[in-house]
Amino acid sequence: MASLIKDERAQMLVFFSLVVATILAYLSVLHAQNMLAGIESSRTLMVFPKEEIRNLKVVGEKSIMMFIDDSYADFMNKTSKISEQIKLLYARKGVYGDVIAFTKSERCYSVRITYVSGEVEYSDLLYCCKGRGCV
Amino acid sequence: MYGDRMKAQAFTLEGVMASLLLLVVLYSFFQSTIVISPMWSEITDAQLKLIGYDTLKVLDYYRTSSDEIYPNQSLQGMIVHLNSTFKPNQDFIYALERMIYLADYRLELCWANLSTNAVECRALVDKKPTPEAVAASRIVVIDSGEFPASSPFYGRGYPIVFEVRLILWRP
Repeated sequence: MASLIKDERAQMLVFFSLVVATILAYLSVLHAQNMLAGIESSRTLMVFPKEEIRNLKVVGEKSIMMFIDDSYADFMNKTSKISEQIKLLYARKGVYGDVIAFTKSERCYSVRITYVSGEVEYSDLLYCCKGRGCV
Repeated sequence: MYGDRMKAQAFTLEGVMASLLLLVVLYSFFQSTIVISPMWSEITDAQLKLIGYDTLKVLDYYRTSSDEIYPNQSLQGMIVHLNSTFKPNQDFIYALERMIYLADYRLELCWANLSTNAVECRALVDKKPTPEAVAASRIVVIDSGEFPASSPFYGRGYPIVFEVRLILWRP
């Protein structure tokens, strides 16, 4: 037994295994972090209501354009009715969604798109002209 | 001789300790990597949800002039031709079922009643979804003048906004 006291060769085994274990532990933490980051970012991407926002933009661009040839009063009346209905439909999902036209000339109008939920706040302003689309 | 045997035992013991240490670390390595948020159950059905949104987008029809008639297969054509039974036309059902092939579905139509400030809904295809079902929806606007006299939406006097909800699940 006395010969083992000053023999440090076996201790090197434990020492190196400790080094390897530390490296592995560090790698496992890094790997877990990467997994979490990947899952969270893909979740954020999935939860983001891009389809709903695109749909509201389509309503602002295409559906409101159907009334561009109406008189100013008719155009404003119809688009405000559309806005009221959209707000009611989105309120059912706990979301504030709105498409409201607020200026109109002979061939052009401006429309504001709004989408506000617990996670996302989006607002956009489109200027649309007959035959030229929206910017 | 006795000293060598003791030395060998100590080496064996420390070898076992080292292997145990590595085993524990490897175990914690694999345990710690399986951290998947249980709240996000929809992640597995994300593909089905995308199919739902794509289907509704394809069926949404944009007219280039007011003289154009909505095709029967489109969302607008289906809604315009609804009568008091709220049964979609066969062309629309055929087109819809081809696009969501292999998935089962439920179709709902919702609209806002401005006189009561309430949202009314009707099931156009009434099937019971499973708990894993996912929903996609699309808003369409149809002018009041498009509806025939047989339509429940006839004579409203203002454009009507509809929400078409498509609920999909794997059978």
